[in-house]
Amino acid sequence: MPESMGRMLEILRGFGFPIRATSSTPSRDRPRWSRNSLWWGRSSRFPALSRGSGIRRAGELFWRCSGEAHDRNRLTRLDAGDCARGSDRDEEGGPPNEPANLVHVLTSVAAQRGVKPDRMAEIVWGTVAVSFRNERGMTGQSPGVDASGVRCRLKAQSGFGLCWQSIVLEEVSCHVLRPDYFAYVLFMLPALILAGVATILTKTRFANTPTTRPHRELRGRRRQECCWIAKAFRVSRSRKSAVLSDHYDPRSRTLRLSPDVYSSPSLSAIGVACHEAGHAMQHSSGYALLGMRSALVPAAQIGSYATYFLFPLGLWMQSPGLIKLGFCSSRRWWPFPS
Amino acid sequence: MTLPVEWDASSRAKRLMVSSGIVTHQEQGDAAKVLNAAFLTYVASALSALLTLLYYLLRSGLLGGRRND
Repeated sequence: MPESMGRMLEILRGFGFPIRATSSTPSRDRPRWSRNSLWWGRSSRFPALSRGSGIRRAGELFWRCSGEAHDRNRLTRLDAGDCARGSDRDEEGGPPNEPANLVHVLTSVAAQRGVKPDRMAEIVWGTVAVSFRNERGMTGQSPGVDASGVRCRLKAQSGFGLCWQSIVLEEVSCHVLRPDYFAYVLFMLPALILAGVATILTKTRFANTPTTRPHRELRGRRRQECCWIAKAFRVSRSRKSAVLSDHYDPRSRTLRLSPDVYSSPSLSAIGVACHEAGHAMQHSSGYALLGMRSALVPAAQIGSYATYFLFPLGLWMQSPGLIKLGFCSSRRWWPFPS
Repeated sequence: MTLPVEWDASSRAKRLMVSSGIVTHQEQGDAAKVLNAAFLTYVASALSALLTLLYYLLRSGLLGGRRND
């Protein structure tokens, strides 16, 4: 398989497409753990909604760890006995997780996937590669394949003075850093379609509505109206040139209108301006829901910043749940601002 | 939370436009079209937020989803 093809497949897999690699290794020669569909996770009735993607499984196998995470000089134990070579297992708690053993596992993975061992760093997560460099001076850096998120997490982690192989890496990379985007997109498809239709409708209608007649009286009336609004509220022309970025800010009692709306005589611009004025009227008449909404704004803002304190807190307390929560609350992972 | 607020603002806007004489009755329909389309975007964002929440709930197994971690 040409290399570029492999990369492409890798990326597709990363998005959750269930693509199977063909392996030249006969199945009886494969190590035991590879039968556990290492790269694909367990099969499911709903494959697109299943969590198991291969790399995540591998991460799980390699990096499940326990309370030893504080020990800097030691790789974490492999928890799943399945991932050990038969001869390397010791009876008492899985294999001793020596780097040599991990090298063997990784080499087998490389062989299984038809990757040369010297390109091994490409097929594993950044966690593994970086950890190797850390432990044994191996200079395997993952050059970008799925590793960006993990690498930056590693940086954050070292910044907190924790060891490299903490449970954080596994949990984050398994479940939150790399969610099943394919399933997510499928799930969100109705909303995506609706959003697309709505945006297109808004833009075309906004662009296609006729302008008001250049009637002097009408203009005068409109100006009066604007003056009335301007008296009660500040109307400012927003510097942002973003289309339809108009809003009413209850804190400063300002109608912020985008240049298009502010200076256009078109009916739709009037409509939008009046809509924002409607918010202002709600404000002036003490409309309860508007108050509740503006009360919720700070909470939403805190929520979007929650990741900055939840994630470090989770690192510190070594609580995967907290770390997950911290990541989920980060709006960077959400396709829509909500 | 956003939806009723926006809906109310839109209806107020429609009334305001006509009552203040900015827009004539013939033109009202055109202006209302834009407002309705804009409202549809709010519906879409509400729906996506709802689905996102549902998705994470399902994934975390809170809604009877399979827990496999």
